[in-house]
Amino acid sequence: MTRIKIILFAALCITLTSCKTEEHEFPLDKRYWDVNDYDNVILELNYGYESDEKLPTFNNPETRIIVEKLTDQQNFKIVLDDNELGLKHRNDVAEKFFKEWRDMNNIYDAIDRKDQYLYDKEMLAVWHFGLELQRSYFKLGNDQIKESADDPNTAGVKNSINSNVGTLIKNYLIYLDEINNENAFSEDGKIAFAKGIDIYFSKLIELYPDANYNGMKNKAELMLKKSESDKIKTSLNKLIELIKSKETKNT
Amino acid sequence: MNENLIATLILLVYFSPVFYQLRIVIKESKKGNRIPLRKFLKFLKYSFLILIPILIGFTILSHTNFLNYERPLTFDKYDQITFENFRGLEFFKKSLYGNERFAYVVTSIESDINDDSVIIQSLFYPSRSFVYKKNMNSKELLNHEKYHIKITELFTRKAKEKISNLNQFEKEEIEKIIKEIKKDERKFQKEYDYDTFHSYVLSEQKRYEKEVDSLLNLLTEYKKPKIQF
Repeated sequence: MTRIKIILFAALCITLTSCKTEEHEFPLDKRYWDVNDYDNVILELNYGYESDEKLPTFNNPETRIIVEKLTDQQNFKIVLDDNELGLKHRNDVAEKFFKEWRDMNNIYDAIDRKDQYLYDKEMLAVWHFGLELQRSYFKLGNDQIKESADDPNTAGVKNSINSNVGTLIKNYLIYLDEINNENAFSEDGKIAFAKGIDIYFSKLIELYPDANYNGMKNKAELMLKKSESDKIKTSLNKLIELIKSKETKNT
Repeated sequence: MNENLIATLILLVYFSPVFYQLRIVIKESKKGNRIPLRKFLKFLKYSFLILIPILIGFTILSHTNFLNYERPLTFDKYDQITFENFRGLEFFKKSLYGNERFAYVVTSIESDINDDSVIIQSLFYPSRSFVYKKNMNSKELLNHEKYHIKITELFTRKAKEKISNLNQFEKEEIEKIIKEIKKDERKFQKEYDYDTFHSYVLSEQKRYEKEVDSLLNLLTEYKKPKIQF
């Protein structure tokens, strides 16, 4: 009997000492999150929360820091833009970040019974993270193709690069597909969405001004007819004008 | 396994005879028998008498590894320093920001003020510096850690420059300069770790390396530890 009591006492001590006060843990004191951190954090956000539990949001002062860290573009830029690091290494890191980002897309895509996004601002921040990441990732890939080619000016190399840029543009078009779900966004969400077009699509066109943006222009024109948001329409118009201006320059 | 859990288990096993005696004390005290209480206190006393020296020894080894001791090295041995010199033991810290592959270096600015001279030198403490694996092949990490040593030397030279510029020997003024320099050095070391994020940001690492090397070159004339007035 007494032995049982001792065992129970020891078990109680063990249980008490191994209890964790924090339910969800994130490396918030770490200045930059690397791929491993993203792996753990995305796993936690995707599967560590109950279905009715609120995820970290920008509006919640207690959890804001988590989503800010998650969507902080400096986390990949600090490596991908570091010219002291080797191109292959940066390309490898970019690829890993890209894989992580694909898993990130599932975190904030929930909709309510009225087909409204529950976390539209957070979802868009994840999107913007991905748009910026892809621009860097594809650029690094193209730089590596050029670097490893005997002659970077051959038709084969140029075709590979153009094909990559084409894929990148297609990936960007998926963002514009969200206009089909325009009504699922809040007003703030629509503003953030339009801002995404202004910032990231302009950056893409600046980086590859000679690429073929016909598909993007057509898509933007179709979405312009469909959209009911003035903010989004303004951004689409700006995008169409930017593509036209580049076309004029190139002809 | 949770580290707190391991520590609790060890303490529970260690103190199990004490708990056993305590149980007997409680049982016998109801009958008015006071002998088990004396026995319990004796158990408790010896348990602590054994435990306390162990804990003290543990803390001392954690601070400086006397089991694998190497005397502090002056800056002239800088080129010979490798991870083999990182002899310190680390019992408490298992990772740095989740990274188990980490190292740290312990340096200091040591001074000796005499009647008409001052000796100031930077020291690297091998037995207090730690690396997770001695034979690890990371030039980048070693380089990052070694620049901590260079930074200490840089501030030591700065102190010597300031002291050399004094018109006369003033002990209080010298002490003040050294105190200020030590503070600046700690601040710079922290900034170095923050900006490079412990060598993760290579461009920042290279920027610091250039800056520290060029400043050290500028202060070459203050290489010698002794300043004679």
